[in-house]
Amino acid sequence: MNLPVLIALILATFGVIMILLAAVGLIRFSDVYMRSHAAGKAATLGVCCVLLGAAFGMGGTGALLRALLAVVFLFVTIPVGAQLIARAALRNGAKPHPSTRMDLTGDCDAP
Amino acid sequence: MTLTQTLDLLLAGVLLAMALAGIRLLRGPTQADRVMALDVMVIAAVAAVALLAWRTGVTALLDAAVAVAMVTFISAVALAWYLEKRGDP
Repeated sequence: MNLPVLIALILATFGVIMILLAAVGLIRFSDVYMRSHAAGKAATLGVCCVLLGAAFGMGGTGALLRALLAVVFLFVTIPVGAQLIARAALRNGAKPHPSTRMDLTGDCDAP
Repeated sequence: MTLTQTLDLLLAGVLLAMALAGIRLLRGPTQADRVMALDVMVIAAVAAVALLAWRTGVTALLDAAVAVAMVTFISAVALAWYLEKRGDP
């Protein structure tokens, strides 16, 4: 196993671990707004690392170009999608977890 | 451990993530939770297709990953739109 394949394997393993952490966050977090963080950020990083790792592992310009296209597209769209879903939940009145502190004014003592 | 076995292990990890998101899809108290779990499942499917492309060496599978990545954004936007129209959380 030569060095580029090893680097690609490390990248892909990191990506799979991030996707697993996103799924665990989806299970463990306690309201829809916290879950949107796991779905919007950890999953994005994970899938982009997996795509880049697969492209490096396969080698060749075609694979790298396709993976870069998918990475750019996913980096732009997954957080937008998660934000739209969270906004839909907010407008429909989904209740946040009781321990959530609304701090819209910058005053940290506000409940 | 050979490369193929390592990739099989990574594919199993992605599959486990899909199963965990499936639990949230079935349980989710609000409809937005279910849509978000579906989003994560499709993202895990993109990663699985990319790993499968590496394992088999078929570059055309990466095209499938790009196509699935484009479909998931359309589905997320459409489902969020319907959620806002329907009006229950």
